[in-house]
Amino acid sequence: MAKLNKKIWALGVIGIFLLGAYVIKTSTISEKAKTKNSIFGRSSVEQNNSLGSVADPNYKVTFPKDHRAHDQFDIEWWYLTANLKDEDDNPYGLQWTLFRFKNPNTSVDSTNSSSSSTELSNNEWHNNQIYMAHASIHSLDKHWFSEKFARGGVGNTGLTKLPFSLFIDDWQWLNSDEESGLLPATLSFSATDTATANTQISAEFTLQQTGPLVLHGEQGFSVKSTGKHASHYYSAPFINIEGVLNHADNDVNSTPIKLKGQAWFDQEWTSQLLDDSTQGWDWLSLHLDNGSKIMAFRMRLKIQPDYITGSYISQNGEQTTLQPKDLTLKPISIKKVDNKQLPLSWQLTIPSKEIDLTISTLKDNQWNNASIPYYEGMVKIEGSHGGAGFLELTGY
Amino acid sequence: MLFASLLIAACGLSTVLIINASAKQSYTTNSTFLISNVKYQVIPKTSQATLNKSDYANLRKLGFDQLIALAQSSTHIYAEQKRVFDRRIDITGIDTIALLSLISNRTYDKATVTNQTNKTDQSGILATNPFSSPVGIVHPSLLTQLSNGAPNFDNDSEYFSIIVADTNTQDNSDDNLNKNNRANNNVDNNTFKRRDNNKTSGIKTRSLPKLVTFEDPSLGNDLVMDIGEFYRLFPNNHLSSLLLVSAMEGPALEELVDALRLALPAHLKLVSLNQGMQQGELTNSFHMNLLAMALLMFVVCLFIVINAVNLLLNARMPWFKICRQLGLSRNVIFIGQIIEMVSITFVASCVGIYLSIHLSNLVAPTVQATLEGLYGVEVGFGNTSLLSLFLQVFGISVCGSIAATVAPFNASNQALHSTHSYDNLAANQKKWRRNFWLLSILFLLVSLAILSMATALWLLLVATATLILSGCSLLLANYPRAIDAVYRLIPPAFVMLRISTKQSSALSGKTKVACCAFFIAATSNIGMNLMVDSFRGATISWLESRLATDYYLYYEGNIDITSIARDKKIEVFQRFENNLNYNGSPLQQHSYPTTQQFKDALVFYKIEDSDTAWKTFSDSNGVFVNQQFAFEYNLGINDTISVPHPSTQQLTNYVIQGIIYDFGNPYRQILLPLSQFNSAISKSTIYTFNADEKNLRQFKIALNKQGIDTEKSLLNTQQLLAISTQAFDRTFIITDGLNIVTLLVAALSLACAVVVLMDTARPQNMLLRSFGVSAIKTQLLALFQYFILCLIALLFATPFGILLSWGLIYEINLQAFQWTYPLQINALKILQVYAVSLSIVLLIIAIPIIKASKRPLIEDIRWLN
Repeated sequence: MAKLNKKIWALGVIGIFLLGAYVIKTSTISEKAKTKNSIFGRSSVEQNNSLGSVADPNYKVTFPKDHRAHDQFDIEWWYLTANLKDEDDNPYGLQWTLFRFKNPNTSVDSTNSSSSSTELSNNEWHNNQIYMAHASIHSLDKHWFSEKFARGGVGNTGLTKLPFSLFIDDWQWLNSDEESGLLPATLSFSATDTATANTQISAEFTLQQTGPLVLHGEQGFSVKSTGKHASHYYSAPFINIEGVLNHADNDVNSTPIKLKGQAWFDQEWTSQLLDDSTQGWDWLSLHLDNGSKIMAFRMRLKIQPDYITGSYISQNGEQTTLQPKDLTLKPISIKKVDNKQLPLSWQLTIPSKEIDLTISTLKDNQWNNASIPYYEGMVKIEGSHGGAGFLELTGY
Repeated sequence: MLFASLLIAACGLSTVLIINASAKQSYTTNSTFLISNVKYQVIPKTSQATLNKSDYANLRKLGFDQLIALAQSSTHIYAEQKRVFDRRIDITGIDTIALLSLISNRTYDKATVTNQTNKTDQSGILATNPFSSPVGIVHPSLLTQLSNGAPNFDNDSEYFSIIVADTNTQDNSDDNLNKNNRANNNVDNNTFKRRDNNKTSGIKTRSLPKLVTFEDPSLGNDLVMDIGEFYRLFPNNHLSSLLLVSAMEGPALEELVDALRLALPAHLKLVSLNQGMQQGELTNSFHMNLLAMALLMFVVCLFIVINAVNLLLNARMPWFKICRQLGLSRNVIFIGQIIEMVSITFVASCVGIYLSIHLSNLVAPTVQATLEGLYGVEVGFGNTSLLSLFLQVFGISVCGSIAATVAPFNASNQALHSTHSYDNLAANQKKWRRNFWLLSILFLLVSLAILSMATALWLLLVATATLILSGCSLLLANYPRAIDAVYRLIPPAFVMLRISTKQSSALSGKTKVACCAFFIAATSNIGMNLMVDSFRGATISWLESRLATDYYLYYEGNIDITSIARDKKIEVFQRFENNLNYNGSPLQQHSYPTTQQFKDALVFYKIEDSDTAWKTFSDSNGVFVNQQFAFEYNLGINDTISVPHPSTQQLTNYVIQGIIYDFGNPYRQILLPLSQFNSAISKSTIYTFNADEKNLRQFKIALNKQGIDTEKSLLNTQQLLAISTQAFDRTFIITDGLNIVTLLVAALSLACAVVVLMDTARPQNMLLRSFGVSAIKTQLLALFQYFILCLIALLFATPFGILLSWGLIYEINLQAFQWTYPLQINALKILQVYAVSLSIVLLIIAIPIIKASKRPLIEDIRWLN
């Protein structure tokens, strides 16, 4: 028995130990690379050894095929953000994301895009895909957040083709018409109160698409810098979302919270977003009161100016790619959150569309203290237009 | 006497408490860290069932994301095609990716892993190196040991490897894997080719990941790695278990566990990790046995206390009477006595604990050897809290001694209260007898009911206690009748003997307590002796049968013993071993030869048709399992089990053809024919052979030339038998010691009673003396009276001793160790117990009797006046 106990102990230690081993490795590497932060699990050093496929300007994004995973690329995410209100008009922010990482350390690989959801034979565990998921809900005074990891090929994470679904353990995005498309869908997940770690909520939402999918950049090929940074990127910015938050601890005093609002979905895959020169990025998704949408993106790079790009999407879903000359995006206020100086208020102008917006966060601390920490929070829009949206800050 | 008995009681009790506490302390030190958060595991429900990846995925998809997959195996490590280390290494694979969720998730914050790195570090780690590069974690000393066997060791690469059987299935899967790699990229492909090399000899080497060291003694012989790496090395293994890692406690944990139980598919079960712990169960039984013996001794000591208090009060009676005449109330007198008693108990407890600390140090090596030999666990002795020990011992002793003084105080109270004494025993004798009969039947029924229904070890011990109590009651109910029967047997010519026997009858009423103490001691003595004797007999006959060949060579190195033997015209049979994990518990997979000599040697607990069984076994379709395996999984002949093939590790179905005895083995074992094993994969540590003197001499020379010390490693059957018997005797030395102590204590109890009764019997003795019977003769007759009492107690103790022995073998042994052996009732052994018990008792009670016989006649006459 001593043996078993020893093993259990060792099992507990292994994860930590592996991490511990990397601390040492990381510190050396970081020094060499002179990079302090990295984004979504890819360091610049690793990127140099990347084996992933390169985003192709000639690639034609087609659906429903491209809703599925692109395993040959290093990194991919399915990203939902939503601005919600409860029955008393209190604002809530929702984020649900499934990340996929290609693990260069494993020997086995697969070659087709749908294979990440295919289970390996029963005793093979050496799939090269790792999944991570984040679920976050903000009210003005609370934050619920959870994080999950799982390896591909085991069967508890990945995607299914028909009906289309994204899942990790019991968190699931599922096409509610049992079809291969992204929407309409149901979304279910749970998250833990960050203030009292033992209090959980479970979330059940329905998502209805009210407008077309939008390809960013040139037919979905989204350039992120004047250099080689690029990705394949599309959005579903027209989504009505409705659902309920239930307190999972069965507290009779806790009534379910009914929420309703509008959501924005992104899918993006690339192997060229993160390298030596990448410092991080700032991203905004905005729902304007007049029904139009804006995606604005600032890539922060070393030894070269920031690269600002975006998309303007009209009420009927027509997309206009915004080149750096077409827009300005400037931080107007820096605040300290979680010991980091973060730009939480922005000025966005798009002269051709007569848009001049002041964007500020609804509450300061919307920091996701995850394994890979970043800022993801709801914003309000003032100026030439009103509205709501989301701000993402990485690499701080 | 009072002090001595309390001292013995306190000393015995605290010694056992110290041993138990220290031994248990050493187990808990072995199970540090995560054990508090891993309280349950999911394992297959039956031997046929398997736990696989889809079970894991399905349960996690149901929301049980606290489950972490675990796979285990044990193998030899190679470098440059050579085995680098004689011992097998335990390899453990864990789903480290899933573990990351638990470490990072706020739900399990901090509590999940006690020494986790801080959040910032984790983030940095994940950001730069998000997922593990293949590494295996070992203790530095194990890596040193491994590298010592590998001269060109280079830890910057994947230097070490394992050897697995090359099967068609594996070839196909590997081809596919290689194909995938080629399609993907060259770097991976090259890596992969280097990591898995096909060999032409039907075996294949697989590179271990780079080993990194982590200095913690708990790692021991283990190599821990990610489960992906584990399955690259052992693609045919099944999952060992799913660990439930949760910091939850109390109702929340219970709720989670209940929900998980409901969600489990039919072929899986959730077990508490402590329940599944073989060591815990086995050692618990040892501790319970020890504690039971100590409590028995303690109870017997209390019998002495009763007698000693009686003696004390009798001696003080004149003083009490004077005190009464001076106006002191009875309460004041008795409160004074109780204060004295508590003070004596206090001093006895202090001295007893002091002595017990030395005593426990003295017996520590024996206890360690017993635990290690019998249960295969490593035990150290830690520190025991003196205060808690004192409180336990003093508390129990005070309660016991006060309880023991109640009866004598009552009697004294009556004596002080009344002006004349009367004996109401005769009047109530009939009523008492009826009550004792009823009690006896009641206890017997309770005991049998518990024995037939209970499965918990402590309940079985309660059953044995009630069985003994039943015997006590029966003895008390029938003492006078039995003595009457003895009286009738004595011819009328022996007047003195007849008088003495009649006096015994009167005595039996007054020595109930002491006789009960002797009965308990005698019953447990007969029971334990028969059990040990049966075990010894079964073990020796089993050993004699199993040790079929003349010589046994113990060798774990790489030298090819078979070819050396062949050169010397000796045919050796290797015993191959694979250590597997089966349903979360270790399983030994051993080879067994199928020659006639070995067939005759195997001792079966159950087998149907021997010829068919051996044929199926030889054809590799059947297996033999030991009792431990069969009883644990409730399996019988013709049941099918699914275990990994010894060479290919593919899960294979085998039919159980026979259940064998395997005494003393704490592990479950399965025997397969030699042909199923591959010498490159399975470990062989024992080589058995027959040889004549000349060939043996040459073989020894050849072995010595290879550096094998035949003096130590080559044994003949007789030497092995002698070693086994010595080990056996060492194991039971504690039991023997406690038996003797219990008997001594019982004898002391009787001796106390004798001293009290001496005074009572003086008038009768004086009468006899006045008839001209010599003092020696009267005292010899007194001795005879006690002899009669003891003999009758022994006669009554015999059937109860046999019943106790039966319970110990077929219930308690089965429950604690999962094996039994036939009960052998050896009349000579029982007579031996009679002789020893009677000798000890008569020797001790002879002391006060002889002392009394030396008293001048005038003293007795004066007393009579």
